[in-house]
Amino acid sequence: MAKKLFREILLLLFAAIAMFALLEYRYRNFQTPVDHMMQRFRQRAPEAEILLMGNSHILPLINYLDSTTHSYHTASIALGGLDLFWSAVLIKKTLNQMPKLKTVILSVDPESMGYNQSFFRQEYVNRSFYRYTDTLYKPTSSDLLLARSNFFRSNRNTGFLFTGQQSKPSKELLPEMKQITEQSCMHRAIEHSIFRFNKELIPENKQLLEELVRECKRNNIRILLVTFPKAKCFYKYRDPENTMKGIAALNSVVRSEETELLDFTLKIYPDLLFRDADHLNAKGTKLIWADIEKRLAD
Amino acid sequence: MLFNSPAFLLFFPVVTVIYFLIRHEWRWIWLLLASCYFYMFFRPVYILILFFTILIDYAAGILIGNHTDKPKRKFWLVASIIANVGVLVFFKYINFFNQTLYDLTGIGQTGTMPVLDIILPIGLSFHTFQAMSYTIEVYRGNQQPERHLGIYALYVMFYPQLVAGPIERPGHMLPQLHQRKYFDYDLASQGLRRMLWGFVKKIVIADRLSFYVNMVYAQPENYPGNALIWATVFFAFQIYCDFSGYCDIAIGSANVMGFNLMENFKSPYFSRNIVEFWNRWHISLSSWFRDYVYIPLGGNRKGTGRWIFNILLVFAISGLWHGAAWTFVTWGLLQGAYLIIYRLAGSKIKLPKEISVLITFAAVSVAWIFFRAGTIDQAIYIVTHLIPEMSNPIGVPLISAPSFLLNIIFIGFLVVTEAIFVKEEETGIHLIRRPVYRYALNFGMVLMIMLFGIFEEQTFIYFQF
Repeated sequence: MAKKLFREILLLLFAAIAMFALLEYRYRNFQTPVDHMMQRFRQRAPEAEILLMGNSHILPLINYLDSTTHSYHTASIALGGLDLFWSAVLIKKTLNQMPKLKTVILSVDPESMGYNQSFFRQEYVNRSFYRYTDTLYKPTSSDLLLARSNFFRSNRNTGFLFTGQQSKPSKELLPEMKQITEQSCMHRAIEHSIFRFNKELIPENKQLLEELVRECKRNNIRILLVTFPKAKCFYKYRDPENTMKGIAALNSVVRSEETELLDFTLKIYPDLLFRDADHLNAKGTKLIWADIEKRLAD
Repeated sequence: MLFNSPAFLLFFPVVTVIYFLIRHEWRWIWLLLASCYFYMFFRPVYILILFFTILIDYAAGILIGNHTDKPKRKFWLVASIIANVGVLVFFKYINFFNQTLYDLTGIGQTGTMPVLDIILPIGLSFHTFQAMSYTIEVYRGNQQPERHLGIYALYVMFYPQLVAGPIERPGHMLPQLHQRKYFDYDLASQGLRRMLWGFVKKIVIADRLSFYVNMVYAQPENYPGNALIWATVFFAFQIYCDFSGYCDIAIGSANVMGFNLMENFKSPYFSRNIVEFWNRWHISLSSWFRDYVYIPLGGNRKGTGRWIFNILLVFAISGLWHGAAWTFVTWGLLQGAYLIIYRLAGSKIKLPKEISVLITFAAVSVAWIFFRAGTIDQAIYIVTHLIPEMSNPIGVPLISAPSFLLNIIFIGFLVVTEAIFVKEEETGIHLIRRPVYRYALNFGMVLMIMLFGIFEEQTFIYFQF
């Protein structure tokens, strides 16, 4: 009788393992946005003098520098929603790949001081990074196993199973044309300053930002923190209390670490410089880049 | 150790296979060692608390059994109860009592009250209650004192039900621990399938629903009425799948080793009234309160006024058992009030079965708001804002329509599956009899876990109690 049960378990295990093996084989070449990003980074890292890093707010600048002629060698590690945990980990893990690196430009917002991807159940991002960092936000045994799986790295993207359609690089997720509407401003502002903001995470994020700054300083690399501007209507809908907490945390790191912060949110920019509520368009990026470039020359 | 961790997937087969390979005389040692290891995964030092209560209750059981005169028997019973309740109070309630005293009288330091920085030992309320049921039963003469310390320790520590029940009774569990167990194909096969179903409930349904629920309950004032309604309904299913999923895994894993644990749930959301609900929800706890608190208080034998008092007291204690906060006490009192209203008035109203089930579910779900909310104010805010809106049906912008739809599909799947179970129990006919269908069902469950499971090793809600 025990043998019978054992046979049944083996049969079930065999079927499950076979199914999993098939999925792993099917997803062996699946490219996550992180894979796209890291491939691009690795191509450029050896010559890079400037590293552009952070969340989606820096993507327009990356696109702009890619499409214009300038004298800078840049590399980028930027992804929609990239949090301070991953920024800190990636700095530690990639600095040795950039022997000529002089400056890091890191996009930070007050809201990023209360943000963490894992907290909002985006573990697949952790799994995507694991291949390049050997690090997980919460290294549970389950997550360590899943991070090694092609299928789970893809966030179980079943669309790929049937169509073979790859994920898009994060850079391409920001097309130039979009509209700024009152409603879109409200949604983005509430999303960033309320739904994705958790004040409990501020101490942890402060510490991560401090570590990141120190790591750069230890390697004689200048770090410039940049808060990119948002459309006028975005500010109207931000949660004032949470935003103030984020600003206070960010300023406290700037003071304690004596680092540079270029805060473009101190000034109101016209809507025609934005592609949406919180991302600049090419025209806006050109204007901001001029200021950043001036600061870099100091 | 969490049931939903890879460690358990290794632990369980190793413990089970070795259990059947070794001689009967040594099995209790093996199971006890395995149970200690299982418990020490959480916080090793807290095993000492378990050892302390085990030794006290073991000694108290023997001393009660050795004496024939009532005062001495009572003395040792009270000593044992004080030791168990004392441990509970120290680890679980001292800060709550301190804070309440300070809020009511201002006694204590001005400003912040000194708070003991203690982490609650996992499953403390469960094994304490299980231990107390032993000494009470010995005192009542329903149970012979257990003279084998190892077997008694295993009664308290048997790993499948150590941290979240079912809260076993000595009369049901101790004889099983003495019995020689032989491998039983039907029981083991049924146990494994039940474990698989428990994993589906926990990993696929409960943990998926928790995302929506946690988001809304973290800051309910920022969400519209629809989100509050959905979060409340989802939480009702989340807590059911989380806790009954745990019990399925516990009962199933015990079945594989030849043990039978008591049933803790009987499709409670199909209940037609609140009395039925409490006969089908967390049965081991509600029967514990019935046998050891409600009936000794006089039950319904001392007039209506006293009966109302007894009901409210028992449910208030039951709320407090769940957590050291006024939200839990309010939840308990609300359940008690439902029961009183139903007994006094509701039972006279005849409604179609479906309507009765829906009304009971709605009432229970509203009570869950107090269970889940962080504060009473938050719970009241949610209750008073459960207003449906035509626009924004999903209610939470960060939840995509497919993800929301998946939640609804899984709840539908759960309801249909439970309805089949109820039908099977009523008719005594198993709908899935042919082996090929059984294999397909098992494989389907594995596939569901693989494709839709949440693998973040989220703890079970009831572990905190």
